[in-house]
Amino acid sequence: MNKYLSNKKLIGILISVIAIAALIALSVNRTKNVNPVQQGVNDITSLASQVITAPVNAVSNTFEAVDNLMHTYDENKHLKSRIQKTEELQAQLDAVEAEQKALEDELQLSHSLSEYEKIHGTVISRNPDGWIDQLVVDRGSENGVEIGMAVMSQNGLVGRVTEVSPLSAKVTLMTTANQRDNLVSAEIHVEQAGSDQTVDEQEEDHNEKESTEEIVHGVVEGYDQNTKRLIMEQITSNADLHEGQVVYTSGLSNQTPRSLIIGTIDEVTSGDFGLTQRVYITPAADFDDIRYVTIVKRLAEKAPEDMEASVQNEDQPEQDDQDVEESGTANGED
Amino acid sequence: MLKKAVRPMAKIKQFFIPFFLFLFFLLLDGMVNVQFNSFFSFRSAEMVLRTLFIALYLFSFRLSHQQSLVFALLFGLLYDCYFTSILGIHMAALVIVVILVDWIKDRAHLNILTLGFFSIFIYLFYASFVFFLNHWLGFAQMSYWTFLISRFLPSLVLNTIFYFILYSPLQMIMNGLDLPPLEKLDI
Repeated sequence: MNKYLSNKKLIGILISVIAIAALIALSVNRTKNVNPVQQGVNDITSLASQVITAPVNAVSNTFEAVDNLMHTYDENKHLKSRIQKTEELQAQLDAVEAEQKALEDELQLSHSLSEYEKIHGTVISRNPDGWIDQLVVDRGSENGVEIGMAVMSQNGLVGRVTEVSPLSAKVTLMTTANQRDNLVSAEIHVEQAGSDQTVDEQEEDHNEKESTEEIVHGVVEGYDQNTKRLIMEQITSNADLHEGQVVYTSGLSNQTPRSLIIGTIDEVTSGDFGLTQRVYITPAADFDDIRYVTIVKRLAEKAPEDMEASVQNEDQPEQDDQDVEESGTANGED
Repeated sequence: MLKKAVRPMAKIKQFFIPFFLFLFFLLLDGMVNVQFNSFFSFRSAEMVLRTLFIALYLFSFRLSHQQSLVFALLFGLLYDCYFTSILGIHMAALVIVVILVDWIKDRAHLNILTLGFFSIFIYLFYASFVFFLNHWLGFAQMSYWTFLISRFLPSLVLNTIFYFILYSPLQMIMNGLDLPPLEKLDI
């Protein structure tokens, strides 16, 4: 006993345990971005990682290209069937956009909650542990990435930027448990008189049918690891939700734009106390295969809560800086 | 005289070659998880590749205890900083791995099989330590039994394969660095 655990060693172990516990506690309770030293370390490591990732991605893309080539015939057949519909939709979209622009000019609006810019990035690393499901992407603050921005992959929302360095950023995926700062406010568009629409039709008609729809709000706040489905809670409405309906972001989160696809409803159950509904969502993105991401920068600057204050000042004429805020509110309450 | 002049160079080699090797394995673990995540996760089972652990484990038998501790601290910290930003978890886990290796190497006959045998227990300890800390922080929300079945056992199979793949190349590199051979550590 004395040989291995002398007083000196015991004190050393005690100090080490306290130091590690303090380090973990400080890291977990961090509210701001990481310090410049950590940012530097992350950037240097991510640059080294890109050196390894680049050739691997090149080989992987070659195999994917060959695979795509083999499926060209089927894809072509499918796309041909959609061309006519796309042309019709484009014409409708042009008309709606022109109308929206005219209305925005009339109301002196700058950007709605649905407008956003995209920053494309490559995933260079992923936390092997999997307990905290985080990606490292090769885009950082120098590319305009900011903490809180929504991140998409394969047309579906996958998570949010939680840490930014000049040349790289970390994305926490929605599959992470205990995602305190990664909750997503979501909405489901429910037809008032019931609907027999398919998922594709719902996506296409999403923007134009809002007047005849009830919008059901909730929060995506969990992930079922066994069934690989997202869980949406806090649904206060008793609206008839059913399998196949599309779940979108509502734009009510801090920096997430509206109308990003999260997934489709797979199952509807009642919540823990039977007072609310719980929705299981099949994600639109494949969380197991994320190699390229699109970081989404919402053009409307502020969250709706902050904007309410600015709406109350609408009567004041000199508000050049607050035009963006008012535009967000007007659209957010649509 | 010549031997004395060569020694500082050998010391530099004994630091920098393992350093870049560990860095490569750390990045490899993250990169492989991007490219092959769909292959590594099947239903609720998930395999976690730990080449950094394998390399550090094997090197710790032949590097000095102080050197091994420095590498464990450095790469544990880098692992935490780069992958999760929660500092301390892997740093502590890898330091404990090095301490356990130091304890084992004075007490056992060492060859590829016995090293592999001990690595199972040390890997169990390492993975469990990381699991319990994440469980405590609320990131791991499964029971320890589920963790053993769905994460530890599949990962053990994957890492055992990589252990046998990496064993010979890593021993050759260590021989090239003039590190004391395993046979000399036998009791």
